[in-house]
Amino acid sequence: MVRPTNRGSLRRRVRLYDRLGRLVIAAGGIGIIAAVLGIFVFIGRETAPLFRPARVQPGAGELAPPGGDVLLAAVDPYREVLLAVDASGLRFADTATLAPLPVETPALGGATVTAADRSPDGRLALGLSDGRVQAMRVVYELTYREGRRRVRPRVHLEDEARLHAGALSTVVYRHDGERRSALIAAGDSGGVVVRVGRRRTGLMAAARVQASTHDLPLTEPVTAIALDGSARQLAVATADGRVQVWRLAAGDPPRREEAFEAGATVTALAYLLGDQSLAVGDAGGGVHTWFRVGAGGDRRFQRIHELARHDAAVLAVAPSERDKQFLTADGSGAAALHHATTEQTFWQRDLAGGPVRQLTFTPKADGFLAVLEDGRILDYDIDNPHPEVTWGSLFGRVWYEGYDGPRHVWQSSGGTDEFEPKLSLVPLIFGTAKGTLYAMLLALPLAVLAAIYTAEFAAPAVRNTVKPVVEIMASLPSVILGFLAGLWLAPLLEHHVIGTALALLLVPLFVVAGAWGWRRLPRRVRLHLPSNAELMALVVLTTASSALALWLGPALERALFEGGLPRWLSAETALRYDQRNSLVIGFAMGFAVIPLIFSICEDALSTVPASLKAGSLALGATRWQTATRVVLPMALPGVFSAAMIGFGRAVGETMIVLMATGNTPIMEWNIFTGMRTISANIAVELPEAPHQGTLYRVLFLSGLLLFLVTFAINTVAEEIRVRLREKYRRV
Amino acid sequence: MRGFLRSGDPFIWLAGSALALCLVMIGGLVLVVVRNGLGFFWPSDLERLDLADGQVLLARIVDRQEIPDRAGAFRVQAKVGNRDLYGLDFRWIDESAIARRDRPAAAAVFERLEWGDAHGYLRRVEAAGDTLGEGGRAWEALDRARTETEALRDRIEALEDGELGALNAEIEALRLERRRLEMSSAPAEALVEVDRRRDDLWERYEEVAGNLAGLRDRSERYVAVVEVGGAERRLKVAHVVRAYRPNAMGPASKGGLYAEKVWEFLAGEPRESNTEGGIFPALFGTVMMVFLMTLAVVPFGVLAALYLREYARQGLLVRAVRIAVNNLAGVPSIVFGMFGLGFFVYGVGGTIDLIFYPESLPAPTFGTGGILWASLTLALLTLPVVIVATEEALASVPMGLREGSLALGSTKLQMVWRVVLPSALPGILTGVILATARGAGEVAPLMITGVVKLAPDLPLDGIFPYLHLERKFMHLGFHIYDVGFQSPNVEAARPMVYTTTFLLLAVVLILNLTAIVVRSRLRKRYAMTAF
Repeated sequence: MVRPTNRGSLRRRVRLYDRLGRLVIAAGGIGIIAAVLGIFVFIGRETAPLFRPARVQPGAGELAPPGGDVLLAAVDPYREVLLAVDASGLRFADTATLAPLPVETPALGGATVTAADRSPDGRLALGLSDGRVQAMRVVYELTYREGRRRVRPRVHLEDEARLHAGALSTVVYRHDGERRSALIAAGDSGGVVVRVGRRRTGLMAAARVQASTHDLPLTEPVTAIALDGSARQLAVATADGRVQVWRLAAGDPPRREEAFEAGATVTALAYLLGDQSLAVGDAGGGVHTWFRVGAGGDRRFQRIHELARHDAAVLAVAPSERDKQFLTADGSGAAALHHATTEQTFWQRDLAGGPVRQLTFTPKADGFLAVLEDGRILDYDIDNPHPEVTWGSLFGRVWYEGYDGPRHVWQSSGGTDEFEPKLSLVPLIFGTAKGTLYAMLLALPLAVLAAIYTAEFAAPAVRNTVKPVVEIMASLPSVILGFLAGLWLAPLLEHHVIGTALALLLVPLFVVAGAWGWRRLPRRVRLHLPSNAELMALVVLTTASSALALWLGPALERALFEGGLPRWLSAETALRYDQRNSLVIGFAMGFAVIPLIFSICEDALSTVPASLKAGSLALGATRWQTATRVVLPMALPGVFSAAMIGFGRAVGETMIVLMATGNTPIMEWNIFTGMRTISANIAVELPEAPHQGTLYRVLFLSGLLLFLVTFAINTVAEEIRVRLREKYRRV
Repeated sequence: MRGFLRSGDPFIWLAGSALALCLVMIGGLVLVVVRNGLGFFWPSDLERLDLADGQVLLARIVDRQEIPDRAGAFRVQAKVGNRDLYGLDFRWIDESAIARRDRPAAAAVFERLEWGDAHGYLRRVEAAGDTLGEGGRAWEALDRARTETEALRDRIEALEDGELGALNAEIEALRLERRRLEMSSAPAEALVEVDRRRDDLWERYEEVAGNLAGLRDRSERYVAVVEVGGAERRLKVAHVVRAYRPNAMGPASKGGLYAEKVWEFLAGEPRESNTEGGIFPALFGTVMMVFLMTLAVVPFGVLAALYLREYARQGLLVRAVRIAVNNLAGVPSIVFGMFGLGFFVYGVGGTIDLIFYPESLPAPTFGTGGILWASLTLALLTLPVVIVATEEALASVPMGLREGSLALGSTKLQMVWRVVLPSALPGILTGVILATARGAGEVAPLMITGVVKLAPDLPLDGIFPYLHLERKFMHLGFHIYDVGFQSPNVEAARPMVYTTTFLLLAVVLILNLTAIVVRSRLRKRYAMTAF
């Protein structure tokens, strides 16, 4: 009994609770729905940076190191230490304060530096006025002191030799990181000298180089030189517009492998990361890349990618140490940033400082340094995290290194850091389409026919048991289906392809014969049979006829194809037979999709207003006629919607495809080979993809695609069903 | 004949055969799983095969099939065991190459911790060079030796899991504390104090480790000398999990052994990269993950459905939201997994690490896949299922009940809480069970949010804070994928995978059947209350 004095406070409390409840439920409900829909936004946001344009901006500005006329400049991976080469030698300075850093460098012995070169792995060659070359390695050591990171450069002299009589105008030095090295030097007096070294096992590098020196037999003046990172291949451009490719081997004189016409006089030349592509800049301002195309021994350089042109002769090319980006600069002082594989030029601008003498990417490709003719150094920042992805590279054909033409390729990772990622979504989309097609080929007819039978012809008792059974079929975890498909069905099918095909013929034959026999049964007998007798008979018939077909299959296969179908296919045709193939996928994924299609189809069919059916039957139509001419057309949108929902499921199915195919991203419709679908690809590659790297984002993009497609399909299917329900209500 | 065709009966039968085929496929699938899954533990007889080339094998015949391309010729698949000796567990043997087959009563199976089963004849048991039992007395001696080694093994395990594990955890905690002190530039005395405590722990650790080594030595003294293929081989009794002579056993004792092996499967730890032993960690991981998922999905799902059905104004927007939520159920699970990785693991987890666990960086604590993130991902995945089911349940509560309640003066919250929710409860329950079943069988999103092949520790144990939500876990479904497809010895692992499959299938089927039964009861109840 509530006392009157408390009644007011009780009412207030109840009202308060009510308002609170409304608030909590509304906030919670809206919050959850927003969160769920936020998935879409989040995935979209993760992919967006792929398509952000590159940003190139002046960084710290102009770096003026002590000294003066700089020939070459570079920074360490953290961009904290500046390395500059001028006539008096090698210097280091703090990039922020420009304070010189005391570092022990090799003595020049009275000479001045007249040429310098830096390799992507941080090695340095100095050409001196007395014809000597010093080859050295610069390493940056990290030390932590009092919680502060400090970068300490160290210089190790690796090789030193006199290669010319007079001052040097060009030097190049590469070392493969193990034992081989090569030094190339050209002097003002002309002539290119090649010194190929082989380090003897031992730690002290400088003293133990065993080298052979050769003159390169050239008739024309040299305009540009490039050496690959393994010090094996030398490209030399000459004034007549030709590029000669030489093979270097320790002890032997250089051997000319081939020469090609570059179109115009080549004025800048560099190997891109991976040492397969040559980036070429010519006197006319053209920028293009070349790599070898062809099979076996007959591989020749071909002009592959064309990049945006310069207005004046290209004087410098600098490859990135991370990817296939490179920088070019011309005589008028303009510079440009390109990506070779995707043929993009992200940025092109006049540096407004006169002609550029030398360009260097920062080691992490997050900036570059430009050394001007007047000795100044300009510092730029690059923000271009995903240069290798464009709409064209994702969906179009791209000509990758080592291929004989533009192709759709998915190959996201390779054995080395220099690997060129090939991220075309087309093979994955193709694989998804292929898997879905074969699954639907099996599932659609089976599910729709089964639904027609259940809705129209089966006894109510049968319907009431069949529906839960199919529902259970729908709930089978796909990992179980995938496992059985991969390890049980695939080896079995390998010997029973013909048997399966035979079953396609035998089962209908037996069933029709069974129907005929059933009709011939005396009416008395038929009426006394239980309601599920027909289905029982069908189960027995289909089982028996499939078993017969599978039993006859191998004998037939032996008779038709010598050595079995798989062996016959590979011997007699260009087709292949993989054990885990699309046929297996068809069965397994079909199995997963059938219950979905069946349930929706059956619902659509069985809710067709009974008056329509009754009318049709009353007018003398047979049961079959009623089903196909009245009920089915009426419910057709429902059947269509069922097919779409089944399609949506098949498109996104992961585990079955992952387990029951070889997961190779091939592009052929052959039913006896596998595929790689978008979903399986995400499952395989996402755990290994570095967070927010290019692969990570491309995988998110493929997931977004999957999301959009399935979401759209389901929405359309749902809308169709809603309309159908309206239609039934009107009839 | 024309009449027959015109009647449409053959077409009806053809349509029926499609249904029959579907049913046969379901039945066949269940049959294959049950047959292969349940047969694995049966201690079938060992056969002695004298091959034509003079080899003598002790093997279990597991399969027999016609040789492709050679009609009438058969081959048998034999599990020959002794992987350390033959390199393979299974061999296909042409029947025509077998000269003689029989079943010697003394043939024995030794299940080992490593290298799978050994098949052979027990000759004698030794302890540090002394023979304990020979010939007919050998089995008695083996039993005695096994009793002792098992007691020792229990003690070793107790030490490893208990004391050693606790010490390990403490040492790790100290290491992190030290990092934390260093990072906050604490006084040197504090560091010295931590170091002193660490050294004390190390001392105790060494002591316990010494004890363990002593126990191990004692248990490894016993050696069973077994004749395999004519030569004597020495097996350490401590490494023998089980030894029996199947040919000498009756059906009753075989049944007992079967039950024992099933129990080991359910409650034991995995051995030999998951291809032998038990699957308890996977079972536990699955149950715990599903439990956490349910804990997350039910309140939120019900809340969202309540809002949509009872509170929101029914208009175009709510309809659109309803369709969107409905369709999320059809979005591939891998997309949810991707979201889980990007949002929960890298986003939320990475932030938690930065704020709460900076001392263990760059090794991530929550910033890597774990059972919490996997559960939340699956909760998101099953949210539409729960929302849709709850909405349906709410919709089927007769309006009269609501109106009656309001007419009696209750507020809306009281009406929802006391009248609508209780009547909708069975329907909500059905939805929850269906969501649970879906969650238990889903693997793809887990693969990128925290499931692993072999987790060293369960997410729930006796070391503070007992519940380790950041830990990676094992899962039945992933176990199937991993052992069946990633294991180096697929042939040997296959029976185990079938058994796991059977278990997962059973779990999912039971959950679904429960849902179906609950729902049909529900229908009956509403059928009665309808007026």
